[in-house]
Amino acid sequence: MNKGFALQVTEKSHENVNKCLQCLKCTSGCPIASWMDYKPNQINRMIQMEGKTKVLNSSTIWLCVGCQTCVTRCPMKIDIPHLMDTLREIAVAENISKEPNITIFHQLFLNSVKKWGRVHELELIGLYKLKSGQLFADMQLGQQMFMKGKLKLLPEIVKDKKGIKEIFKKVK
Amino acid sequence: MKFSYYPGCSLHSTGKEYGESTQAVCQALGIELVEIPDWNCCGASAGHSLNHDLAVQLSGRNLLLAQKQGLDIAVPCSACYHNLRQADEELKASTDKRRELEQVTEMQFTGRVQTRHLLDVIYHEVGVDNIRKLVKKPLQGLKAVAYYGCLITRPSHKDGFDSVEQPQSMDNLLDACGCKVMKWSYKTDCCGAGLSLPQDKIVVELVTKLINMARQSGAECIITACPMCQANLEMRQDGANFPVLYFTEVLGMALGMKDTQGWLNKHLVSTNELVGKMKIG
Repeated sequence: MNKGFALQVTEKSHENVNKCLQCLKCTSGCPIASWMDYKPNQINRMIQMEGKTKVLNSSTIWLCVGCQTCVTRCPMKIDIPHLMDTLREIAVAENISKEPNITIFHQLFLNSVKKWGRVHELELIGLYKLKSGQLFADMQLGQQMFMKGKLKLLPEIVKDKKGIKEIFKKVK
Repeated sequence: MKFSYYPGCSLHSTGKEYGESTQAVCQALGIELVEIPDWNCCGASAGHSLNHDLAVQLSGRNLLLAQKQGLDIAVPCSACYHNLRQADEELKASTDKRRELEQVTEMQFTGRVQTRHLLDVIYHEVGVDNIRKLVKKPLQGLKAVAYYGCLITRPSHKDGFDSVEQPQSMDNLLDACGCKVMKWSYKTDCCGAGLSLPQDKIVVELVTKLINMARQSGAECIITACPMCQANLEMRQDGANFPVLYFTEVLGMALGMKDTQGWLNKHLVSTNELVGKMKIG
């Protein structure tokens, strides 16, 4: 048992999971619930019960796409997408991810923003393929997009590179 | 009417035709868009997924640049729109976050800039009646469903510009263009968003459901107002050959604009058959 997890999540997210009524509105409306190992309402209950290991090792926190359906419908207005952001941040800090490809994709995306100020899709896709090992996925699609001018060879670069670097440094 | 314009990364790349049609249509409708100088990426899904504060600061920098322009922001991408609004709200609420942003940018955050979705701007500032008057080529043969996706109406438990569960703005705009707008229950269902690369199977399943439901409603195409929805719907529809257009492209066609074909040529799913039919209709 990891004492203090509920408190840690509450302090970091400012969300009170104890308000959860287990009405299942979140899970019923969640477009991704059928792929999650624990449903959003179960994550709430597991936080209450100090189930840190299970929560941080769940696929749920990575599969949540932040569509906001749950919080829109939640009668207690618990911001579950924000809760998921918080749980991911804790998981990353502890080097845990049940969905490593999703984690890698997000990390590479932010690296691109840090480097250029805007995302460079072509480079992101290339690096993601190398890192995830999915080398030959979507080859035809990528080619088609490139031919239509939808994937640029060169990045767009923000002039105030220092400002962008500073933001990344500050929030670390 | 003048707005600060935040295109976001997609409108310069994967959603190029959305960017081009946005610029052209706004000009025709009398909306002057002034691109935010030196804007940066809002962080997309990755930002808030890995570092919530980073997402706030990245979007915050854009809000400050728009503030310098002294204009409200028009955003065509739903994800950018959501991120900018989220940041605005959190910066207004937290002195710490505001201070952090002000230190880095050496500017003061006033919170007076409003972030609005392009659909909201066209719907509320130009209005359906005016658009109806401006239509030169009513698109009578076009049977379409309006697809809003998640983040247009759902930043939302706050003050959205359209209904959360049953939005109408795009339906009404399409109707003004002469389209036959079909009813369906999937207007705000998720397309899978940022999972398109790392979990493509999930996205294929979600998109297939949307395409099937659109088809069942009698529609021959889906109309979107988000570059991420549009890309997912085209890329992950598993050979369904079902066209997915931007609402600005539809407006452009109805306004009789010349550049329309150039936008449509950039689509991954051909729109030729659809456009051919419209001429007969």
